[in-house]
Amino acid sequence: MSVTKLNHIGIIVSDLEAAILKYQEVLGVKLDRIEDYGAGLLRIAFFPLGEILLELIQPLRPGSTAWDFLQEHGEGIEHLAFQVDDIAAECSRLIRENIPVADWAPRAGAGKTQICFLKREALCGVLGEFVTEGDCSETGSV
Amino acid sequence: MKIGVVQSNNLQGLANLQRNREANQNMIEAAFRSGAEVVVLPECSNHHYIVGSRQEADELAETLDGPSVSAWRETAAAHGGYIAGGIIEREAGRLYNTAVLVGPGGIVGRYRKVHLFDWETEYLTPGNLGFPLFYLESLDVHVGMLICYDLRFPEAVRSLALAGCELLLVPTTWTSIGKSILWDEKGYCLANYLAVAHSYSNRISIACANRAGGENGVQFLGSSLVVDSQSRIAAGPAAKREADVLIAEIDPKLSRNKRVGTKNDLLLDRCPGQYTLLVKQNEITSKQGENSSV
Repeated sequence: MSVTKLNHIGIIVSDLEAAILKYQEVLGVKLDRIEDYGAGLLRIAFFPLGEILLELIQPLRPGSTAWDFLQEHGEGIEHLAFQVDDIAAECSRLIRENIPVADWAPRAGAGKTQICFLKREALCGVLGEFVTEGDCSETGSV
Repeated sequence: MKIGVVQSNNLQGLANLQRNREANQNMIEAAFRSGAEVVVLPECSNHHYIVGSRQEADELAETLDGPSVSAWRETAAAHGGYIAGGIIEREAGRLYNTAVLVGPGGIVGRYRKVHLFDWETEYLTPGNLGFPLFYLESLDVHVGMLICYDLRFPEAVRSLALAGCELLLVPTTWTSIGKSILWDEKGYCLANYLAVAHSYSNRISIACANRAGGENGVQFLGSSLVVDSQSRIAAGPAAKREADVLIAEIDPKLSRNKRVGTKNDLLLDRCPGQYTLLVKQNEITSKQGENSSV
């Protein structure tokens, strides 16, 4: 088991530009960058905050769990991402130990990372993500 | 017997083939570890579904000794079980949408999709093997296979039922194309009801393995399921938008008794003499269908 720290908090928003202004105004955090993800599925704004990131995620069209979250719950915290040293080894461990996962092999995440999402039941209703810094071949679906 | 259903969430592109194979292999292994004796995978199991050109279809295509079927053969042999998976099959310069059934002794058989859907009609050749039936001796069960859109045709399911099919395996890609609703208030997609209805009208077990995710604006519906021979949902519907693995305990041998009460029989009560339109060519239905979506 090698979760080393909290990597980022994923926050769903309906209007990215408005959300960026709000987070800057209320928290005084500084925008690092904005990325498109998943061929028009999401736009993500990254705010460094100490050792972690706040990710403001605007779903652009149906086809992602982020879109579903926005429809069902509105804006708010959607997931917590935990950093691991070796995503492949951790993903294999989760599967071997029958821990519910949404990703059965690592895939490319935003910000040049590799990720593996768990299912909510794995962490008592919290959507968890394992993440390792490092590039992957191609960005896929979310 | 225990049946496993693998619901994939494949990433698009040739560059992701290996990643998809790894993810799907992990799910197959998980199903066998849970006791499955037969594992069903989605249509075009290891790659994306929406194909934009003949060249792209050709790049994704495999032969029966290609990497997907070879891996399934090894896995089936290692676990002493059976795997039904989908490939774009290349043979003699033609491409087919094929379901391959492998077991501990190698390839059991294949079925080529008869009713092609959407892009398939442009780049693939319709199936030319009819609706074959396969006997799995170690499980004492007669298995048929259909692929996705085939399930919309009761003639196909009935053909297999008449041949003695007890367990129908359906690698599929249920999409949002042409759908009035994707899921109802109970969380079922329309194809879920279709599977239950086919089970009910033919008294067979049906295992449908769909994919999740989306490509090029098309939503895949997940919701894989297993229906037992008494038309009860034995497992599923699976997750709508995520990869998933289902395990169900079913008894396909119950399919052998087609009696309904004391005076009826689902197959013997058929009246083929009244079904003359069923064996005519398509001039009537094609005229009616010109402006309708599928």
